[in-house]
Amino acid sequence: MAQIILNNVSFSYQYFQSISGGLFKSNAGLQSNLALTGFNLTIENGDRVALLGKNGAGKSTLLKTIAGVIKPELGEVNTTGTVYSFFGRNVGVMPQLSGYENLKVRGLLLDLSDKKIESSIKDIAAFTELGDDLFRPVSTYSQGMKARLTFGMLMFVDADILLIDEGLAAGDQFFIEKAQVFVEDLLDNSKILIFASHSPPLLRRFCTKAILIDNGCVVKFGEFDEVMNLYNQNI
Amino acid sequence: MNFINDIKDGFRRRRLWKRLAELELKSRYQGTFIGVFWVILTLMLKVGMLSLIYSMVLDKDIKEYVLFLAIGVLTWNFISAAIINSSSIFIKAGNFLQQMKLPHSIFVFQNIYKESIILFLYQLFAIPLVLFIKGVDFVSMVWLWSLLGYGIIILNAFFASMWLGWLSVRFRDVQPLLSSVVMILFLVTPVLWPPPEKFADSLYFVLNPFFHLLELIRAPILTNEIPYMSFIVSTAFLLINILICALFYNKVKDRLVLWL
Repeated sequence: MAQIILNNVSFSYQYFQSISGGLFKSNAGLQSNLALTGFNLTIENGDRVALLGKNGAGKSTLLKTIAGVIKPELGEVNTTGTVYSFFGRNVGVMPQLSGYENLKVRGLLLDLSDKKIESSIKDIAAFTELGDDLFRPVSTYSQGMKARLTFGMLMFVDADILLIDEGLAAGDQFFIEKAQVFVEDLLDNSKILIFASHSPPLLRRFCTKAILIDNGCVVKFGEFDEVMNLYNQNI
Repeated sequence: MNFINDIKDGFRRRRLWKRLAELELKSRYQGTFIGVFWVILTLMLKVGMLSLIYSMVLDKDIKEYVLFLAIGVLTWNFISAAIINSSSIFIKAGNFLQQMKLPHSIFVFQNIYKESIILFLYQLFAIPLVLFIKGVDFVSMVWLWSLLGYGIIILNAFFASMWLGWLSVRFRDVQPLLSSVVMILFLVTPVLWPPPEKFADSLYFVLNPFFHLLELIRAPILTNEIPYMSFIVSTAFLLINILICALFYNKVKDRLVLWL
């Protein structure tokens, strides 16, 4: 039974300021940027939620907070269920390593047993249909092949909560349809998916609900089409 | 205590950091024919050239001096690499740390394991060298103390690289500073030269923990002596490093990912 509750969560990023200015100008010192303010949200079993918002609204921050990567300054986050997070377009660990080896390292990152890693990789290899390309370095892959491998990484774990942040580039049509079938099979009623993407077709395929975020606050959380229309109106 | 749990959880994930360490080493020598064995060849070249010149400069018998130099240089290489690499261990792991919650110690284990593999490879040159020059009779039970010595050095490197790693992420000045500090330490620590008898009790040596770390290995092997003073100083140094990590762990653990 998966569930995510955020209660009055606030969080600021800290960053080193830009290295602009002359050669002798110091760029030390941390700056602060408010990313989430008084954020309240409850996501239940079976929800497949699209994260909508313009760039810088707070989508990635929200996902990282739910994943436990960052801890809020104020408020609390309660997640029930195992979390599998997949952020960023970095397909794997090392580009000079083969797709197969990258999958193995990802399995180790997820703390899976050797047996589970091997059997999962077999399933992934069959699904992505990369064949012998799986044994070539990832640096030699085309964008589409990288997209397939990226999606393959999602297949590792039956997590209760799946968090994806812009990590799915569009593969070819055939693969997208295959992926949708997979996601639908994977997400039975006791799972949660939260998916941030700027591709409305992808979101439409995978999600039933949506959250619109702006300036670190929830604007609307509801049925997919309703929130999507609001998002489109505000652009 | 959370700090101890972090290390326990990190150690439990050893399949991961062992693999990451091996991949790091392999990628360093990617495309070369002899691969990781460059580590031994580089050491041989360094020790060979230095012993030729410095045995003249210091007016020492080359057969004795090359042993002193080999053991000192390889131990120093381990220590300096652990220190200098510590400034980047968490920065390199930024991708992982920003995707999922992971014990920090995984990346410290990775760095130390990698350096330990190199240390082991060095022995493939050093031990035959000692046996070749001194003969098999030279081996003695006292050498086992140097194993304990390596243990203390490795533990020191583990905890020191943990807090230096944190410091380097938060204060980016630390990375360039470390390179300079290690260079200066190399010049003032008896690595290439033994302390002159006249000044053997000088505080510059007695208070230098790195001198003692080197003596943990050199003394048992070269002079069949157990360096009790060095064991005391090195263990005290270890306790200080552990204390620094334990004190700062709670402050750092949630904030580290934000500084990356």
